[in-house]
Amino acid sequence: MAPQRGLTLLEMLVALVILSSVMAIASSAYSYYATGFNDRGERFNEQFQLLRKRTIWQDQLASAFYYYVEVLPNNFRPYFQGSAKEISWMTTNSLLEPGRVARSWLGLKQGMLTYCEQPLSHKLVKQLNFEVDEICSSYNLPVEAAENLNIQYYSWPNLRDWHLTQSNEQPVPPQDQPQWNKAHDASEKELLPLWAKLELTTLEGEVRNIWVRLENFDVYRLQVFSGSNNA
Amino acid sequence: MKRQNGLTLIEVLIASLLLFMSLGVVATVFQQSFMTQAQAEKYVNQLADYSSLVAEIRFRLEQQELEGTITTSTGQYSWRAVVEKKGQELSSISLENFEAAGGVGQLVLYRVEVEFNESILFEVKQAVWHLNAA
Repeated sequence: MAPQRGLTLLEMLVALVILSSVMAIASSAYSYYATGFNDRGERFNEQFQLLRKRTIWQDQLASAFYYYVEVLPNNFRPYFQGSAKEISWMTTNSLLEPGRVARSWLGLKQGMLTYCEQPLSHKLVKQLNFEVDEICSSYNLPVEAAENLNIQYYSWPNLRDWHLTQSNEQPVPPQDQPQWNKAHDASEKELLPLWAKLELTTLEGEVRNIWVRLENFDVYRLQVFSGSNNA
Repeated sequence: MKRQNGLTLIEVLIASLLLFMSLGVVATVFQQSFMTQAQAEKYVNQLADYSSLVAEIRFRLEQQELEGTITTSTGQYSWRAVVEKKGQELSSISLENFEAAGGVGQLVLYRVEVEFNESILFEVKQAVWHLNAA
């Protein structure tokens, strides 16, 4: 049998040292890559969830409609209570019971911009004031952390000026023009705002403007049956 | 000296060529997946801006503005609108005979190009009702 020559101990040791150091570098590089990849994946998921939540409240606010509340006997006023810090309105499309009316609320709650909703399938709203906790007990969606919220509403000053531009009879140019306000009480103006602009201050102090165009869906004008009309 | 059996130069070259080729392929795949992720992230952010962006542009159009810039946390968008079509002046359309009546305003169709980083991101059309000046 021919004599065989293997590696010497020294050669073996040197080879092992080289191999293990290469593996050490490669594995740390790989784990760096894998962590980065996972972090990015998670961040992507978070952003995607955030997009979904933002879309929900923006769509719900846009769908605010004229829900008339009987404030005094035979005196019906639309429901939309907006201040600089919070808004409560009626949406035509409840998230919990699709196709039904719901009362919505948007504002800051425990440091989060929060959207809440209460389906109204079996009851009517007969008062203009609202309890945030009651609305939020049905559906509560914390959207994003926020330091401050400032809401403005763009609307006609009164029903008459708006009617002048909308009338089917002989229209007259209005005396006043729509303007931005810090609050909007639809029971006083008898109108829903046309636009809402939210200035959201994030925890990092960055200010984000979010514009929402309200569809101004009026069941009376469109002569669509709604329970509130016959309340 | 005893004859040793090692690899020839050509064998070593082929082996290292194969090694580097496979390393190159793996690195490209890693790089690509990173870039795809970054791109997807950017799209999600732009999508999150979309509805507010279009709402603001529509508001500006109603105020008769035809261009502007809007800054969000994603970056700066600039937009420019051109009038694509103008309707006749009217106040309302009769529900009985669908004829136009009066003349207090006009429906204008705008085509809006929205740019991000100096390349066109999307195009949107908006029909806006303009009242004539009182």
